[in-house]
Amino acid sequence: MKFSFKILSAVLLLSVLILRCKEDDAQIFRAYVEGKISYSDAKFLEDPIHLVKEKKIIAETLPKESGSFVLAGPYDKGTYRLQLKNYKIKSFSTDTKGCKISADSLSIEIPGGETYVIFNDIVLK
Amino acid sequence: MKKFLLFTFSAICFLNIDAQKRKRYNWQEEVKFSIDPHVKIMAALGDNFMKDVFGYFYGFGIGGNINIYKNFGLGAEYTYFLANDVKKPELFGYLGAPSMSNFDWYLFHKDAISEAFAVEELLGYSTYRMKSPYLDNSGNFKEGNGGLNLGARIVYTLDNEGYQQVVFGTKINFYNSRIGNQNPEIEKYFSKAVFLNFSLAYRYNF
Repeated sequence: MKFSFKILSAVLLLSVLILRCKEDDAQIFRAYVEGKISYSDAKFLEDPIHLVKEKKIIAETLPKESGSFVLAGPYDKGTYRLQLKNYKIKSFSTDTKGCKISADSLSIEIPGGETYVIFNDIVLK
Repeated sequence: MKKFLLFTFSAICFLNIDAQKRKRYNWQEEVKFSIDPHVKIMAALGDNFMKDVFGYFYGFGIGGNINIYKNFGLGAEYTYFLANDVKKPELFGYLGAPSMSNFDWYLFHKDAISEAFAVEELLGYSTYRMKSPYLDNSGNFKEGNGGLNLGARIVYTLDNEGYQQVVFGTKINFYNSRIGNQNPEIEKYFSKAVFLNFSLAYRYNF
C-alpha cells in the first residue's frame, strides 16, 4: 500500500514537471548592429546610442573613442532604428539593402527581418 | 523534445509494469526516496553571450531522488537562479539582470565508496527559462529552452541510520535556446552555452 502510494506520487511529480517544460512558440531574435561613426565634436561620446523599435528601446551603448559601437537586443519583427540623440547623420554605408536616414536625420531606419547589420562609416553633419 | 517526453513516458510505464511483475521478489524494499534542498553557483564556459555578459549565476532550489532498482534511480531538481551582474549591457539589450528557472531531470547511478561516502553519476535533460526585465518597465523578455546535463555528486552520510546526508555536486549543462540571427555565428553566440555548476545540498532520506 505504502509502495503504490510512492509510485503514484512519483508519477504525479513527473507529470507536473513535464507540463512545466513547454516549447517556445514564436521565433525570437537578437538584432545585432555594429558600426563606426566619424565625429568631430568630442561631446558626441557622452550621449548613448540606441536601437529603437516603435519608441521602445531594445539596446543601448556609449560609442567608443574610436567612434565604433556594438549593439544587440531582443527583437521579433518589423522595422527598427539606430537612433542618435543630438547629432544628425549626413551619410552611411552598409551592405544591407533598404536602410535609410529618417526625416529628422537623427536615425537610420532598418527594414524588418534584417538582424545583422554593419554600418561601415556613419558621417555626422 | 517529443522524443524526450516519449522517453519519460516509457520510463514511467516501465516502472509500473516492473512493479507488478516483480512484486513477489519484494524488490521495492530497495526503493528509497530522498529530498534535498540545495544552493548552487553557475558560470558559463566558452565563447557565448552567457559568458561575456554575466559574471555568474547563484541560485537555490529543491530536488528529489527515487532509487528504483539496485543502484539506479531517477531524479529531478528545480533551481531558481539570479545573475549577479550584467557586464556588457550592449550585447544583452536594454534589459536588467535576469532570473532563471531551471529544471534538471536525470538518471543516476550510485557507487558506495565507504560506509560514509558514496558517489553518484548523473545523466539527464535540463530546461531553462530566463526572464529579464526591460529597463523601461514594459515587462519581461523571456528566452531559453533545454539541453543535456551530466554530472557527479559526492554523498556524505551524517548519521548511523543513514537518514541525513550532505551532498556536494558538480554538473555540466548544455544550454540551447532559439535566438535567431541572420549571421549563423551571432546566432550561435546568443543561442548556445555550456554551464558549469556546483551545488551543496542537505539530503533527507525516507
